Amino acid sequence: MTGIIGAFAGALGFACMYNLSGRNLWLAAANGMMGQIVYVAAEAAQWNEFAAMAAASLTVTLLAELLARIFCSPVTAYLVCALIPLVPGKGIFEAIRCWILDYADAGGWARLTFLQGAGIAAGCLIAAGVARTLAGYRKQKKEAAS
Amino acid sequence: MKHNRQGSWVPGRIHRKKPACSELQVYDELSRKDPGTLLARTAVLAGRILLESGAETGRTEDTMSRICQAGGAVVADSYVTPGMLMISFTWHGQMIHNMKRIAQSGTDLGRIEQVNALSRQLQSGEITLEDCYRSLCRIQEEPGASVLRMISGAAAAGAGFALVFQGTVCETAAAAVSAALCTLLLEKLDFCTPSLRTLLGSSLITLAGVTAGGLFSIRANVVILAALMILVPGMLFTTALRDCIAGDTLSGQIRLSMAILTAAAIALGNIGTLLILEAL
Repeated sequence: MTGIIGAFAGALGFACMYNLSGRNLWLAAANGMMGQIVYVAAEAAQWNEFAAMAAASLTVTLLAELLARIFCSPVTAYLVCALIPLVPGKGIFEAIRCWILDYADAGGWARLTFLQGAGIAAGCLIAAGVARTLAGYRKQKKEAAS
Repeated sequence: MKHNRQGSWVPGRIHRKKPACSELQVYDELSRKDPGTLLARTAVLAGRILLESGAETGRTEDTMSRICQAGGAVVADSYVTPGMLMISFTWHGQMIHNMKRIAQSGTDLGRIEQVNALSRQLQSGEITLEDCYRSLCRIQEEPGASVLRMISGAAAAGAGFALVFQGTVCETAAAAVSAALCTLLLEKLDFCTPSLRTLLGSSLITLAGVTAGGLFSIRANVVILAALMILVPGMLFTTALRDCIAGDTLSGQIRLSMAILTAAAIALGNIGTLLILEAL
């Protein structure tokens, strides 16, 4: 539960720093919280790191695309702040620290970080690809009709 | 002349220098003499604001082309990379070109949103080209997020990430203070290069985390890690990924290189400080 509240606060903080205001500030933070909820739920269901991160990033990207179309705002406004809580900062930090200090865990941390990073990229790629294809199809249909 | 630069990404707030000649003065001259050039300047100014605020290549190109078409241009082509933008169109039988170099970019989602709204209004005919240009000039001269907003945002983000990493109350407070201090330092070091600012910010966070760990018997790793998250180039990574998905691989690669450089500066500041502290 603290992790979910933390993700909300983290995304809200980034939204403040990135100069979002009003409705979009809270929507971006709520999107960040949704990503963390999906990640925690996937971990509880004993999904592997790649699948859990992919599911979370897919949810965040799809929600951002949906919110952008509803409120006629850029997708990045909802996406960037919401994705940051998913960034495997701990993995990167521990991998570098263990590598520099010559600890045996370095490889394990690096593998985990790579899997998490790849999961985020996969989720984003699929969701953004689907959204773009649908938007292109709708535009094509509209042009053909007119 | 630095033709090969692709612009650099600035951590924290972008410090905008007041232009020698106000865009509004240029507007007054142009609107009387040359409306075609005014259209080009409007499109380029919109593109410049978007790129400086960290918008994706596709969005910038699309906004510039839409503005030209709304202003009566027949064929509008735009080409954008993170370091420059170009527009070319035909207006009343006359070919008009314009380009702009972008030296520095940062992250300001508020400005991206404002320019996006303006281009929509112009396209739907709610505002005229002159109104659009005036509004863009106003957005361009706005200072962006205040220092207080940046510091409170960084403190909230630091505290939030400490909670994500299962930190205690004391660790959460220490992470918030470290993140706020780092933002204050970045604000004061606006004369330094972006990489040096990131490196020094990362060093300060590490130093603050180790000090807090020693003073209050808390886990320094959690404090450092949570506070370091505010330096992570999340916008760059996301935009690079979206550029690559959209087929703008050149811009995607440039942004990815900037993100890797920033990540290297964070790692160097952190590990370097830890190693120096260990030697002492």
